[in-house]
Amino acid sequence: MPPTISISLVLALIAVLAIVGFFFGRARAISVANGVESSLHSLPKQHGTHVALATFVPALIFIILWSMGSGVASNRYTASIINPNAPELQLSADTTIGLPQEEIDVRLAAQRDLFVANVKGLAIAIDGYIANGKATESDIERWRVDFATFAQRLRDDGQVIGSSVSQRLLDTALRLRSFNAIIEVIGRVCAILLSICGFLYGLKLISRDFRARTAVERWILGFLVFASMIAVLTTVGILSAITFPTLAFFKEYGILNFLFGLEWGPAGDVAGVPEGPDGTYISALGFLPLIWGTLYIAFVALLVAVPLGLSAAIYLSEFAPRAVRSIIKPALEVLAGIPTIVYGIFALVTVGPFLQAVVGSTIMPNTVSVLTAGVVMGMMLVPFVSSLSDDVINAVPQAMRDGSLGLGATPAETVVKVILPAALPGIVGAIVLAASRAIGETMIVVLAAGALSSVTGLEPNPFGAVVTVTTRIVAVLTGEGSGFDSIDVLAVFALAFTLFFVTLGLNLLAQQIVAKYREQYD
Amino acid sequence: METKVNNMQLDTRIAGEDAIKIAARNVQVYYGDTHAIKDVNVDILDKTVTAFIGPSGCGKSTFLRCLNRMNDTISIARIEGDIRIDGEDIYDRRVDPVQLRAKVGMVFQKPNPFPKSIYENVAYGPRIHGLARSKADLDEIVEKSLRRAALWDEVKDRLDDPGTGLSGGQQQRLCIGRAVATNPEILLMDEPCSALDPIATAQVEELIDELRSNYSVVIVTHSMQQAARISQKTAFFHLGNLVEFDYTSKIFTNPEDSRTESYITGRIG
Ligand SMILES: Nc1ncnc2c1ncn2[C@@H]1O[C@H](COP(=O)(O)OP(=O)(O)OP(=O)(O)O)[C@@H](O)[C@H]1O
Ligand SMILES: [Mg+2]
Repeated sequence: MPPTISISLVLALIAVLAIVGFFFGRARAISVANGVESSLHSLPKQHGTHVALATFVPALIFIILWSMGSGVASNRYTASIINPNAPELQLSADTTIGLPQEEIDVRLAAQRDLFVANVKGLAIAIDGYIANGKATESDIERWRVDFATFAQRLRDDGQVIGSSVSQRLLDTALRLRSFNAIIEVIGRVCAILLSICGFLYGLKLISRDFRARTAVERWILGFLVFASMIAVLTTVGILSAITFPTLAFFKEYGILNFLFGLEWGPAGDVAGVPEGPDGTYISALGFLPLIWGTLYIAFVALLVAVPLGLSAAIYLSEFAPRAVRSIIKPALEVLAGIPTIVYGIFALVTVGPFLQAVVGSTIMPNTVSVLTAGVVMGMMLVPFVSSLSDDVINAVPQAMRDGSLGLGATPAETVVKVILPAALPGIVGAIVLAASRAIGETMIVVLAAGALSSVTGLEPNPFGAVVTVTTRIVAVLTGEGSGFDSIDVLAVFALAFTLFFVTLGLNLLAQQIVAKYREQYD
Repeated sequence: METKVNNMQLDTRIAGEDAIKIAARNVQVYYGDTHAIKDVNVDILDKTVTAFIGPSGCGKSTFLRCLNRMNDTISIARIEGDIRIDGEDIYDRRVDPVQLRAKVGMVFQKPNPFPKSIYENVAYGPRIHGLARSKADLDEIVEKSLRRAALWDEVKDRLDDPGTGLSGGQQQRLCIGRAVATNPEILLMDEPCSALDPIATAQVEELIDELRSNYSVVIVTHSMQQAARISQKTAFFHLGNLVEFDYTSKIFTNPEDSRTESYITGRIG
């Protein structure tokens, strides 16, 4: 076992070095100035800050990158030290009888993945065991010979390990651990060296003409860019996480079968292997019934939310006396803060039964329906629409109102003929944003739209139950029995992917409209 | 009541020439606690150009906005006193401010065209007041108004372009055209020429002079020359007070009050 350096020690060292760097840098700048501080381009404390930044920022970035890289490296390493002929990686002969070669390959790959996962799990368990102070590195070495009891000891300590622990597994895990330890130590030593280099380099740069102030500015700029990249990277990450399974699904099932399929009925098929007779899938995974339900409910929701929300916004911004405004505005904000699950319950226990009582159970067999979900979702969106529209209406300059009123228009004429047209692009933007929320909304539809596990065709009756994209995603992922590589789960990725693009498209549209609106009064 | 009698006397005496159009008595305006207009009395004559002059912040715009009740739109503004147009108290509860503003047009200090086409900007007033019976009528009103605002030649080929796309001076003339399109009896103009070049200024001044034959025009201006050129009567405001109100020639040659004299000669303001 190589010696270890704990990460907190490394960080502490770098931090101390940075603080020392600040004072050294400042002192050096003062001495360089030779008593004439105005001869320096930058203030002494700016020189100090620069040295501190040069000491810890590169080292910190290095540590982060190194730990990301070492994860990849240890995966590679594990894969490379596994002996493909090891008995743990084989399927017993009786389980493969009569299976097509394709299926056998799939199961072999699964077996191998499981083994790798067990190796990593065991390595982590041993780390945890040592961290709990139950053993030392040298104790672990002894387990190689005395391996019967250690699994039990790990479990007693609360560590999670796979059910079958073999000698080979332990060996592989221990080799992985030493590999990780070496990588770790190298990384941490390099980080400390880097920080020392930064410290010395920062000090060396100090001179009368060195523009520490500009340099610090650049560090800050770099940080700001980094922060904004995080958001972009998150989007890219989400997208890539759902893209690959989606592409796999499209390849297996056929993109057209998915996009234009009129039936949704997952049946638990395994990835890449049609389970039905003559090579067909039992699962029917058509997108249309789901997007139909989603858009139908969103449409009803907008039908409720837009007129109400817009009217409320007009009233609040143009007509309401101050006192009324100060009551209604917070009330609307409270409405916006209610968790959607609460709206869902409201839909389920109040609105649904009410609608059913009104129209009768021949037209509306269930309390769950397009209208139940749509109306309640519309109410949820009222504050959203009204506060966004309120903003854009308030952004219309007072001079527009004065101009219209000054020509002898009534306040209502002013609203209809001047303010709404001027605010229209912004209002459309608000509506599009509301639409994309309605499409992505989950909790209300899970409770109030219907929970059929399979549907065929597009339900035209607004009092009928429908399924939506989001409810099916929830149902498949929380359902029993489907492994993460079953065709049904892959289909869920495709659903998420398509939904992502529908809402992305709507958001881009909204942004476009809002941007156009901004130009008008600049 | 008193103004009514006055009005009639004047009517008979000067045969409509100097008839009082607007009579303001003891007008006070407060913005919250700020006392912006202090006890102003003024008679504005029909078929006359009246200029309001005075240093910035003295309350010219505020007083102007009282005359068509535009101050109603400012929630913190409070008006006291008595303002009559043609003998009728405009702050009476029976008076509809909307009707009043159709009669008393206004051009604002900053040009504020609607984000609509040039044509629609001018047609706005005639449309809401139903002044045009046909499209041809409306076209005629628009053309006439834009001609009067000295803008027609510049925009006649692009009436469908947005009014906000015009230059600042063109926008201001568009607003003037928009205001005259509704055929007001009184036109209130708040520094209408502050964004205009000398040529456009001359055109607007010509327009004002022309309007005088039918309307009563009140104009706020920071230009002494302009006040002297176009107005028959001048009111000098200072710190919310109406210091002096008289014939323009008198104000500019022989002011009663020393403050007026200092302002005109450039010593205050
Ligand atoms: N909406 C308002 N709210 C509060 N105070 C105001 C408002 N409008 C004007 N005032 C105040 O009333 C006073 C008179 O303002 P006003 O706009 O009438 O001046 P002005 O004579 O038109 O000046 P300028 O020549 O600069 O246009 C100023 O002290 C101003 O601060
Ligand atoms: Mg003013």
